[in-house]
Amino acid sequence: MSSSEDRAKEILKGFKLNWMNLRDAESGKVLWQGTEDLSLPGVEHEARVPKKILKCKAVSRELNFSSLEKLEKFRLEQKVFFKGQCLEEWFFEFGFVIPNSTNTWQSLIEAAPESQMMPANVLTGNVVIETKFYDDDLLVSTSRVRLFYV
Amino acid sequence: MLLLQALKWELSLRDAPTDFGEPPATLPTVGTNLTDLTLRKRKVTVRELGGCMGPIWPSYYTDCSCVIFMVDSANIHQVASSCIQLLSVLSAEPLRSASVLVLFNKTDLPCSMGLMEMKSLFRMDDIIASASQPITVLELSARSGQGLLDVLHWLDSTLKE
Repeated sequence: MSSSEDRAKEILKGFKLNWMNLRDAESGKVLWQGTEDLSLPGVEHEARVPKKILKCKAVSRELNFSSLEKLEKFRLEQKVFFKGQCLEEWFFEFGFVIPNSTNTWQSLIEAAPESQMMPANVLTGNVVIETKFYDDDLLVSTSRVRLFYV
Repeated sequence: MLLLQALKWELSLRDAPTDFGEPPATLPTVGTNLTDLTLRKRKVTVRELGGCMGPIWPSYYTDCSCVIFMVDSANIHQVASSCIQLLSVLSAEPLRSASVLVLFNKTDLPCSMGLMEMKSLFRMDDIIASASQPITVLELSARSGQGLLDVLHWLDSTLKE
């Protein structure tokens, strides 16, 4: 096993997503919150979010995570798949993470133009968000969440 | 942390009367908070760093265009160390042209020191005269929201440039 694989394992072992929520960025109202660690690789997670989230112009996502290891440049690459086809790709960067720390990360996700938005009944159960966790160029883990709009 | 929440609140209900309700718990944690604010349709990312993490602040100096330096006006014992910390921020090379706002917080507390007093303890006039950055000094109560609008105006005008 290469040393970078060891390092990725080490980081993953000390990493935990404590909680996460999604808010309507305009009103600040919480639309969804969860404490399941959606970052765990190997299983397909499921999340049930209210369908009115699709009407929001922007969604604010707050996530709280802890890391035992130091990360030089913590970042996420997220892909939105609809029936296996990638529709959107998002990049987020947090930067330096202190060893043994708990951090919150709130980011804004802007909606696709309304004309390109598919209705909730078409999307539900067919959307998978794939999140790749990186420390700079080192891939730490890949996790998948299937979305249901309720 | 409270400042960020107050700002978010203020921005989402800009014209409504401000009622903060119960203030959230303000426990210092080891870690940082990264938050996006929308100011006049522009996305601004704010990173909050606790005072106890001073030694690693430089890890976050790159790509930083403004600095809000919060000082606890009710903690007399920390005045000297905050002043030294401020000087080290001002002398950091990556922040040479960043706009700086020094905020004296906790004006709601009866035992907090006034702005004039804090400015003279910091020798703020000397600092402003010799720093390479433009420096603004304001006082605030993140808890009651007093002074918050001035912070917003500063952000607005600083980010416009």
